[in-house]
Amino acid sequence: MPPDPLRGAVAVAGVAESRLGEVGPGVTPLALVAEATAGALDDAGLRKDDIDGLFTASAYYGLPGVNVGEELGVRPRYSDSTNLGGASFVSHLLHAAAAIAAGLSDVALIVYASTQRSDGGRLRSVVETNPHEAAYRPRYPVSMFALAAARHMYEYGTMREQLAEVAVAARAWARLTPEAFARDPLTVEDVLASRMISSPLTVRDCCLVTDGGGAVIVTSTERARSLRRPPAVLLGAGEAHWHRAIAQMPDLTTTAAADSGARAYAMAGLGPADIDVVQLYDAFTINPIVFLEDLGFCAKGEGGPFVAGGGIAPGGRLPVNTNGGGLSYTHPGMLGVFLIIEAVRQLRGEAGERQQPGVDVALVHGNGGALSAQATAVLGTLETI
Amino acid sequence: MPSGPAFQRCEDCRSAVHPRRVLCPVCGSRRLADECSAGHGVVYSTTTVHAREGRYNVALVDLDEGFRVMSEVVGIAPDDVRIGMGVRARDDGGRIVFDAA
Repeated sequence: MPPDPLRGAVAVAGVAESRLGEVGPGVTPLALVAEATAGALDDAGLRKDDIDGLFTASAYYGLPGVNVGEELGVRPRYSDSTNLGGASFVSHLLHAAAAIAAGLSDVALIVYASTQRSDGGRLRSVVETNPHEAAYRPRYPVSMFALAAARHMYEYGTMREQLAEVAVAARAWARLTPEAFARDPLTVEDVLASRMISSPLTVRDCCLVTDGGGAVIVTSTERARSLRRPPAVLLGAGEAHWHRAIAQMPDLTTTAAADSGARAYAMAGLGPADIDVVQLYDAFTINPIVFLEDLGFCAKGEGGPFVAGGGIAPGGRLPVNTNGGGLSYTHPGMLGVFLIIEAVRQLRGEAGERQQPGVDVALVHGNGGALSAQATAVLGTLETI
Repeated sequence: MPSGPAFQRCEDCRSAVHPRRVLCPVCGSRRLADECSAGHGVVYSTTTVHAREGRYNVALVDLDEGFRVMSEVVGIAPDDVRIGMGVRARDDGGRIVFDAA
């Protein structure tokens, strides 16, 4: 097969985050969008008026593309507000690559922000109420992931302690990351003893609720070579979704990541053995376990043993969520854009104490909804083209 | 009398369809016939929600006719609901719940 024309066509030229954590009252999500965008433009050495493609999603704004465009004074000729929940921003990487390769955009901004912690600490969401679920009062979304965890434990013998290991590994990475929100020591016993939310998941199996924004600048790899920072080249990307409601998910132990990952690997011409660092959307501790399986890092059902014994912690068999992820680094409602940013930092070698040696290829995986939407991207250094 | 949830049966590919649709999500057919489940099923997955007002069960139940619903298994402690357990539907004031069979 000839190489995919999108392989290596575009690259991430700039990344930045806004203030993270808790910004306090009176700061809007759009203000954090602007902070993150300014940082990413500085990082890339580009100006606001270079942006002609705008990719965003939001839990606050019904027409987020036009809100962000107005706020920034950006007048895009290509605008994409695809909302796949937390998978949106990895999906936007694929969509931006297609737009740039088609000549419809030269410089694309992917941006997201939320102030959900300062707004009351509850998950802010524009998600509709499902009439077939409401009478049974599941806690959306945690109960949906709890149902998936329970089924995984039933089918494969995945242990409660193995779920907890995912949170413990995230915390160990966060302790190497000065900007991480949660840096106190955390043990498996702590996770098991914490408040039950929706069994088998306790509050420590659930991601943080924080404020924060992130921005990613994408342009052609050719242009990125002439810019300030080492390009993080998009080698492959794919997306997939099979269901919306958890009762419609054919098999709660297998997600559409099996498709999105296969598409990303096929475009990249790479497989799981080629990946040096992995950033997986860890809204709940079951997620990385299922995604490690669906993305081919271990066989179906072996995700529990894979993460056991510090398997994805610093010094483990595979570096996963190297800044602490949604469980310990930050989680402003949707994590996808922050996964991309951490992958780029690892590829550039600027991740400080948590930097992994010899990172040439990074995998990023976003999840949206009730294990519904899945988007995978493989990024590499210039040498991997 | 059937006591289970209403669903549709595709007259072309025979798939059970729930919730109600216009097009069969499996084969695309428009020929969907209304049926009512006999209400016999098996727990596919289960969780106990720990809420301020107390604990309750949320389950996914596979009906024998071949579709899955979210519901609640009642009449036993929520933590005693087990995956693989046989259950039987009944109407509980307009919502369908399940008892252990």
